[in-house]
Amino acid sequence: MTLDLLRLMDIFDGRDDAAELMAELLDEQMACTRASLMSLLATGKDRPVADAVLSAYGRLDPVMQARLLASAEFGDALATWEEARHKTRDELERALDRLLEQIQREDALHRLSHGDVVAWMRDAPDDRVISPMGDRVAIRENGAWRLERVPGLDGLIAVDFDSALARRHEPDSGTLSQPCLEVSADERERIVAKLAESLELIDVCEPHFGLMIRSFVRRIIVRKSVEQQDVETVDQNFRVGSESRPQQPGTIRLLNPQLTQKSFVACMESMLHECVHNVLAAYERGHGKFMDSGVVVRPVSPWSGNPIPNHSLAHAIIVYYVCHRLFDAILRSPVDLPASERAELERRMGDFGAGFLIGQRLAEQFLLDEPPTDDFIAAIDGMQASMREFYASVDATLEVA
Amino acid sequence: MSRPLILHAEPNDPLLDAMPDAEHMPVDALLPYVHRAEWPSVVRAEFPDDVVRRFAGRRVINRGFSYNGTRLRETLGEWGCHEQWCHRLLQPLFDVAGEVAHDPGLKGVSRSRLPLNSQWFLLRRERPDIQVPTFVYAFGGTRVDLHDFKNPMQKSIWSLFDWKEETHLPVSEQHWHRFFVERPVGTPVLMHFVGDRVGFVFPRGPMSIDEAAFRELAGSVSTTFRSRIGEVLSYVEDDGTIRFHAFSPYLLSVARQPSFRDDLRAAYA
Repeated sequence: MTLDLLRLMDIFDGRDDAAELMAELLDEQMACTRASLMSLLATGKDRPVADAVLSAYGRLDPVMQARLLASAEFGDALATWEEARHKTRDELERALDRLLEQIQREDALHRLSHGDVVAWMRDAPDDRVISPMGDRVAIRENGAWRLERVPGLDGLIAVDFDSALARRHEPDSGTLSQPCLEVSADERERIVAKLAESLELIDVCEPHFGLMIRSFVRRIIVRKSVEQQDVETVDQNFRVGSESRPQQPGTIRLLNPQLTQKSFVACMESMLHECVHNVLAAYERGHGKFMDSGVVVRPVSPWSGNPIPNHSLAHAIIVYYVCHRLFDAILRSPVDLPASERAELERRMGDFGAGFLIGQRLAEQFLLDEPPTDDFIAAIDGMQASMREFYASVDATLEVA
Repeated sequence: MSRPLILHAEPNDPLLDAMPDAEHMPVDALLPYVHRAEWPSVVRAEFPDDVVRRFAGRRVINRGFSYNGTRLRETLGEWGCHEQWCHRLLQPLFDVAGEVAHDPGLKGVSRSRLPLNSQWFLLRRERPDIQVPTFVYAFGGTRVDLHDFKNPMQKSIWSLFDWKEETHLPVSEQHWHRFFVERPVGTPVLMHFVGDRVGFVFPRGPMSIDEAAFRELAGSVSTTFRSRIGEVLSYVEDDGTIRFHAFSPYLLSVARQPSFRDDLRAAYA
């Protein structure tokens, strides 16, 4: 493994071998997920369902196995087991049952793509069966099943409005704790168009970020929790937002992207922001978390002014560093942008920079019993120094002028 | 030694009354030197030499804190600037000062303006022997288990001195990231410190205290929260345990106390 923190930062800085590094990170992530699966199967080796999972998984071709390993649902089932405080028999059975069901579902859709309808689908109570990847859905109409692509970006990133994952309630999630309203066909189109346009602009201005998004984001979950006319009735903190969870790799969640308040620039920022979280989570999977992820004491983010877990601040620093880079690239590019978008980009870029320009040392903002590793501290110090230099030099240029 | 300089945001900041002989500078006096700048720059300040000289080598008491309500903050807001830019503008003046009373910067980032549980964590990291309240801090909307509490109360993490009944719980904290603490037992003791001078207020009437322990506490608070001046609320329990509850740089409870004013005069002579 050549990846370390320094090389990880090379991905964000767009060094020449960024693409190779991304591929290496994806391979690592897949290997970690495969190892988790094998470990779970070993733990459950006395159970018939573990045998069933192993043989069902073993029957899949490598592409389908990779799809499962890369999917949010598979990751979520494995993470739920790994994070269970009490590893009871019930938890074990539940995890294995979930995996088996996902394998069978993926296999059924694969067979449907070849014109076969498996037995359980003929009797399925629901008229929709979605892939654990979220990108394909089988739809039954007038008794006949057909396979459709879930609308998305470039055929690589599904925009998910309807899956069980998209509709579930999570009490500690800023997005999935909110009500789940139906998204109209028109709203769906507008959301997908906004996201597609953002990705296009990223491709033009910082192509390696476009590659990074396509590599590390496979599914964008949308939660609509409020109608446009009712926005003022909802607490400010829950109107628009975005989120990602390491338990669901390759997935990002957007809250109310259908609202006019969620501008094109904001959508672009959210996509990159959450993509960086996914890249970091992929790295941490194989290399360990940057720091303890406890939530008992939370440092205040210099960006939002809100207390956030230490580990979230660690991520935030890198996320804003990367977003600053993208927005700088867009504003320096010859792309013709509407004045209002340019103004919003400039303002947000100033916001990204602001957090690095605190008088205090960012690396000392964490509230931890054990300090972060020296490597990590050096990375944070490096980013802060680089941003201070950036603004010192732009101010110096102004003085000369 | 030149008299201290109080840089303040509010016209009726209690320290202005307590230190009438200090130089008082409202932060808005600096607004004429602040300009919007073209991207990629955001804002910049061009302080003339005579302004910089007023700060150079001086003992500065930075009472700006959030700068809310100032025209400086309002102007930067109109320009769409993040609050941190306001603090950055003033930092070069603090950099040339001889000393600055508080850690400058954003709420929660400045060591002088931390929420309750962060204060308790950092103080105990320096001094594991110091006792602090028991608390639970929920994440998001998750349920809170208060079984181990004798007498819990919900508080805002930012409400430093409301310990009878919380009257400053914002809507944003009522149902999300809820914070519960053990209601204090014992007798409240309010202590101020100015440098290494300390004084006490006993809201429930005179009592005897372990002054040495309190002085040590004041020293640790001053260091941990990077403040030369401050007010500290503790409770002394029946067995004599001193439980640190909160440090505040705002001085609202002590500013009128004669002993505090005496200590200010002496420390800033």
